[in-house]
Amino acid sequence: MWPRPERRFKIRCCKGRWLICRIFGRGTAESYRQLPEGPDLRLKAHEIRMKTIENLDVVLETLAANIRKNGGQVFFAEDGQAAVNYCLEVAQRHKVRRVVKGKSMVSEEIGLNAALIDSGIDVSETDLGEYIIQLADETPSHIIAPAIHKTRHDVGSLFADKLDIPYEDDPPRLTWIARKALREKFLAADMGTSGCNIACAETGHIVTVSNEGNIRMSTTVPKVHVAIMGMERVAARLEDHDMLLRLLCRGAAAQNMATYVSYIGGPRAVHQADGPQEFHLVILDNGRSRILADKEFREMLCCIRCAACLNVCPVYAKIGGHAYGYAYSGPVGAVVTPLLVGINRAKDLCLGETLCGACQEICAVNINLPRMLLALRSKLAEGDAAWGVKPVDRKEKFLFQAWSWIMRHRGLYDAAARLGVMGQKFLTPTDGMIRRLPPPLHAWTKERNIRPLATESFIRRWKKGLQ
Amino acid sequence: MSTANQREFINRIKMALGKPFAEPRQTEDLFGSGMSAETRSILERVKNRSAADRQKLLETLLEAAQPINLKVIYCDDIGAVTAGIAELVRTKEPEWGSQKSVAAWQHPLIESLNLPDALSGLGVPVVFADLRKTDADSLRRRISGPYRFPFAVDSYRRYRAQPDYRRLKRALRPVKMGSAGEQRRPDQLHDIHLRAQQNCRYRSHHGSRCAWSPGSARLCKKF
Repeated sequence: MWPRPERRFKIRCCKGRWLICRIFGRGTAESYRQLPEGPDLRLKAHEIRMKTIENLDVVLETLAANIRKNGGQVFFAEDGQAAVNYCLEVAQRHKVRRVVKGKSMVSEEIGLNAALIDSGIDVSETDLGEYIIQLADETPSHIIAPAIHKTRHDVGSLFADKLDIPYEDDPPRLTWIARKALREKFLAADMGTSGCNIACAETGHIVTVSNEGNIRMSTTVPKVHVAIMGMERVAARLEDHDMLLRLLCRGAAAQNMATYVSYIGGPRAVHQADGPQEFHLVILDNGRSRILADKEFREMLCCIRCAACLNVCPVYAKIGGHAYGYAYSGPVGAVVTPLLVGINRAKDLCLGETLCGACQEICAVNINLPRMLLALRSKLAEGDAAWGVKPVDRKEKFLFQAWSWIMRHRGLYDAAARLGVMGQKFLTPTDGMIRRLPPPLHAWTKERNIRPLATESFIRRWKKGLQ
Repeated sequence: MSTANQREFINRIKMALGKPFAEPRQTEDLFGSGMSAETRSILERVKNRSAADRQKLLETLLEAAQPINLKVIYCDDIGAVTAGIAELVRTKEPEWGSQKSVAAWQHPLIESLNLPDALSGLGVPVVFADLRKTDADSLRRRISGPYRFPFAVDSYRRYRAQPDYRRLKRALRPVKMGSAGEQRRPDQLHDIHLRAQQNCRYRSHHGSRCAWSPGSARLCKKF
């Protein structure tokens, strides 16, 4: 019998996501192997990133000075609100009515769209995935593939409903329909906003990467371009920058290089006809300096948001990005979100990961995510005054301590196992599964059945076998 | 632009890094001086690439272009390039409207193709984008004008039923554009202003403005 429609939908999404993630994951690993410098380039990139992060003050000052030299304007925003206010101020100054937006996770982080819409500005996402998500009034489910949870049939129905066109599920046709609608939005826009994949301090430019050309249109067609970047997304030298760019494209989509890579170094010059009249770069802290101050988590700022870790994460493949509840999903989200919004507030994210280590193996800059996941868990167990973390559950900590102690004493462990086998007779196993455990273990069986303990331990059976 | 918030911001980073506020920092190590030996050797290799190497690279391009639908046309001389472009212009349909046109970069190599003459037979104008001579604002206005400003609908058919957006779309004939001076179908317009007659049963719609969702064949009803 077929499951209910919503269940079918979930299975289909999960299957699709799993397949896509697997393809991307394998492709990324292969593309690292094909690097002329070999996969060890990731280790070199890690060193470079750490060096930049440890000198971030100098690097950001140099970046700001060079951008201003190129005619751009730089704003340092302490938090999301300051960044949003700055964007609104720029929009009001230029009497902006329509904004086109290149894909940017940092703008999702600060809620820029909602603020612009509240101010009466028409905001159009221009990345195809983001456009679909905007029409569906949803949030992105993947850092670089925001509509990965949607099938072509979903998109066809959505376009038919929202754009009032006949149903169509042929991907090239759907792309063409979106292209037509978006082209006119580009031409009508007064302001373009974008993120920044990597900035280069030495030259004073930012780089945006896309496969659709939409970011290039968003940043060059309107009169004003506002780019928002997290303060850590910068490289000191052009050579470092180019190495990171190569790794970013491989990590993100297993490409040697993205289709459109735009180097934006300020507004158009007086003698140029092309490009915006004003270029603003908003450099955002929003909790990152706190991460920087903690040597245990400083490494997290090396992240270039390529999303390679999402594509290999077994948890992400099962639950998808929406389940994370914040802008950043997957292993990167499981570490960075608690650090940005509060470890207690987003505790489920770091507790839900498997610690399989695949995220570090695929990471373009070899970030040790499992170590940081464990560090977050440790803070949740022990509490941490510096991060304002309250211990999650004293009872749970006590139980695990007791379990750890029993595990280290073989005799006790065997005795406890025997007691368990005897005790489980009263738990009325159904179909060989225990449906309900008594307190304080009852939470384990709230939403799942568990297998009963074996009547004979593995060691005992093994020894019997030897005899 | 004030840099007050910059100082505060940078000081916060310095504090996070445990670095002294006032002490100047050494940047030579961070930014280096000039190109690395590796980059220099790559540039040297590019500079001294032989014709055979270039041919090999071209073959790689042809091979790599296929899966991403990039059509590479190999031409032996300038005449073949002009003929290839003319053939493309002849066979390809324009994305919007029916008038074909070609925008070309002002570059000696492209100028040597003599495209205006080659395409004159097809009635296709060639516009050279001379960045030194073109006024950016007028160019922007010319391109984006039709999508930014409302246009007058110079004729419409009367209809008696309650305003129905689908029926209205059918009722409107191709209209003259205010700034573009060409005819366009209503579904190509960005904004449509409707003026209802005084004796209209539905006075609430008098002079109402409807936002047109471009290319989507419907009128948004939020205004």
